[in-house]
Amino acid sequence: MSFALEIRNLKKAFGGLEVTRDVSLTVAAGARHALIGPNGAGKSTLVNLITGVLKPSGGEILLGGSGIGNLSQAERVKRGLARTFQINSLFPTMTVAENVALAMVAHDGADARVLDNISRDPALAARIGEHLLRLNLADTADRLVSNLSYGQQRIVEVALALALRPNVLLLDEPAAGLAAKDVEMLLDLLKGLPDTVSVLIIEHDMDLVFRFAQTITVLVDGRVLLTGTPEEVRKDQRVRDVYLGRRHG
Amino acid sequence: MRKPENTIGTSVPEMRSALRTHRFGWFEIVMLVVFVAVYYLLPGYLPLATQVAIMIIFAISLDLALGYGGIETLGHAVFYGIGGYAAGLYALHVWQEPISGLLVAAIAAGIFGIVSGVVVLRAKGLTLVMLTLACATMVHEFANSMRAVTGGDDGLSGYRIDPVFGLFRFDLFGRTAYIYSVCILVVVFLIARVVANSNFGLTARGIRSNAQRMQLLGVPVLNRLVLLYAISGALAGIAGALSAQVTKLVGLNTLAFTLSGNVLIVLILGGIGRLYGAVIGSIVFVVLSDRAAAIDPFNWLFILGGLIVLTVWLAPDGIAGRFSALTQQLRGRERKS
Amino acid sequence: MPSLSTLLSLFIDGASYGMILFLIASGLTVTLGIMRIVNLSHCGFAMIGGYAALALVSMGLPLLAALPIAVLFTMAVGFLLEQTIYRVVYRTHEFGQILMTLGLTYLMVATINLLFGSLMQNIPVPEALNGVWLAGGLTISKYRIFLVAVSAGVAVLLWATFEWTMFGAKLRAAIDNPRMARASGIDVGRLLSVAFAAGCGLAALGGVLGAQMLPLEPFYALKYLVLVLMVVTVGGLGSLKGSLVAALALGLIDTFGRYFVPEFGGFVIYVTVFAFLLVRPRGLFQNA
Repeated sequence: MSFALEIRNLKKAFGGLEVTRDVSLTVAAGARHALIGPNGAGKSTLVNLITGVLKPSGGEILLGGSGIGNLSQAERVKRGLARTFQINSLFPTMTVAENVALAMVAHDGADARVLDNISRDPALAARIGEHLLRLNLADTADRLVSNLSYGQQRIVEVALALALRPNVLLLDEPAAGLAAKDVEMLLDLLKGLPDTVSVLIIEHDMDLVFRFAQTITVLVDGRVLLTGTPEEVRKDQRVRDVYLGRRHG
Repeated sequence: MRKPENTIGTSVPEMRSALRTHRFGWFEIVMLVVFVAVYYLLPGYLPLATQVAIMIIFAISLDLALGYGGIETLGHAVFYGIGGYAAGLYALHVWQEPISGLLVAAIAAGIFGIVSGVVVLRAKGLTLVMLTLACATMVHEFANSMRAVTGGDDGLSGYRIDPVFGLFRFDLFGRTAYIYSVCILVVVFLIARVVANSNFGLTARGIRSNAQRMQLLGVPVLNRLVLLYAISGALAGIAGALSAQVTKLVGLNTLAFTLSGNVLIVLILGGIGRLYGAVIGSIVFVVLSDRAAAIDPFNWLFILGGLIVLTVWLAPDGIAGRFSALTQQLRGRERKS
Repeated sequence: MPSLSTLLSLFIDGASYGMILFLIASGLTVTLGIMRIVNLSHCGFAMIGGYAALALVSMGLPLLAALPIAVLFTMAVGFLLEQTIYRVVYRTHEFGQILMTLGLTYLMVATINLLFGSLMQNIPVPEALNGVWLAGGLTISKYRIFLVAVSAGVAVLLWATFEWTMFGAKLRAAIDNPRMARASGIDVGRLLSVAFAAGCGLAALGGVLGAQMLPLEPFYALKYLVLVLMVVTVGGLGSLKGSLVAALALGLIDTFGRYFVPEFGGFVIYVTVFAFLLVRPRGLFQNA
């Protein structure tokens, strides 16, 4: 069976410091997979390796069965790996509809068309409309992103990634800085994602993780401690030690 | 704030307003009426009105580069000048037919846009500003030193232009010149509108807003900016060529820093990134500078300088920006009531 | 091949030209380094200094007495503007700054035009510095030598201030990292005001001394602006050393270029600058 995303023996060292040590991880098609771990466990580095910000020192990254380890960030996006960013990276001076349209047009490879009128394209308008409706953003369509609340901007961040029609969606701490009610909204939205998208979520909010994920991988000191169902992870003594016993800064 | 059952903003016309594309409205109608009225009511001012039309074309071209793509340039006159010299030399040595002259100028300026864009647009911010400035100054000095071809300080002259379509002779009163320029202006406006409303126009706005994210969406940003720069340059070249054909003279001032500065001022006065800002700004600028120069030729820089400082200070979005903010407020009030 | 004496006098011409450019550009590079303010009016201060000296000389004052008064006057004008109009300029975005200072330059041009007329003016050189020295087939303008000497002196003084005084240390810190400087208790705003005024004074010095090479006229502020901006950009923002090297290089290249390929006139220098900026967009000496 082929996985949506597969990581084999991934290694990354900065000078002599090994930050990612032989990490292997598989995200099945349609999976809801979470990656957790204390601060300094190497989660961010792993995200950067998967998305292509960093080049690995060793190991393989496979997307839908083919290696992407040597591709640029943009090429990985084209292959169906979309991500959200911890710090909002939207188009602040543009409306929500324009943000989504930008991603759709770019994904279609139609961004250089000088003669196609975006507002005369009913198919595009319908796609944007549906997309926004599904993400509960419909009534913000004509508002500038910079005028939205932080919570809404986080949702637009997800909307932008999803507009790229990814096979794998990588959510980098989507709930960071969100108020409780916004987290609920985000969870609703994530639960409503279609099965065609496999999700890998990196998150500190354990409540969100345990309510959303089917599979959880615990990363400690750059190694995979264990991968299992939420139930298995919850029961595991080593995980408890890491999170409760000896607190990692 | 959330209204799940409500689908505001998702119908096609609603989407059109959310995508903020340019739509024809009363502004275009008023402008057409004004242009026609000027012809019949102010025949003595046709040369000035022609200058306004040419400045609008030039400012529209800058708006595409700066207002849409965020290309900050202090050297846009380089395209205007290249277009002017191309049209002048073409009329002098090849053919006096005007429309083909415009095309030749557009192509020359467009090609220069690609060549210079590939090298210049890699830079950002202050370096980009300086590179565009250096590039324009370089071409200015080059034209200055090629006296045999360009006429140097004296300018390029001594060519004539055939009647438009072989029918309409350029008359002494500037009637043909005026109608010809306004028609070209309409065409350029439509071209710019197509570009602005296209996928590509959206991409350009995206690059201006967040170039890095555009790159991550898989868009080759430099490539797109070069294309935008070339289109903008070609349109600016048309403006320069029109000026060359109408005045029968191309001077070094068409390449000068002052012109690059002036067109920026026009756009800032009118408001950037909305096409019609170029129209309003050009009218205000050209008419004002003409009036001020007529009243007191030596001191009109006072007015111009003061105007720039005050505009950037008090109305950074320009006249058009003030105006659309106002209409937006009104619209908002309507929606609430 | 031209004779050695020709080369030498070309060299002196180019060097003195370069030193004038350096004097005018030095203030700009410091303010740009600290605040990233693209001050297109900077050349206007050189012009104001030049015209102030012209007015004093025509009232009968000797040039060397008029010079310090003109410099102080320009510093006062610069300080006043910095406290008022530039407060607004600082608050706008980068491109707005470019436009506002361009507008301010127009106002300067118009003012000078109103007060002095549009004709090109020359500040007469004092008797003692007029004429040339003849030495073994070599003709050297006394004034040019005087120029090089004075500007070299100023450059040394500047360098010493920068390297050895508390003020210089604070300036260096502010250029290096304005936020860190602010956090460590340096009043960057006041520092900038002082640097701005001092920069205006230096520009005025350049404007007065250089009036022989860059003749005074109302459009002075725009005419030589491009050149001064290029010095700053090629040298690297905030780098006095860079500006000095760049100004000397541009002065020499321009002078030699005009001599050896007169048909290309000023073209040579701009091609050089353009090519250089492509290879090193950050200029000669910029660490950031």
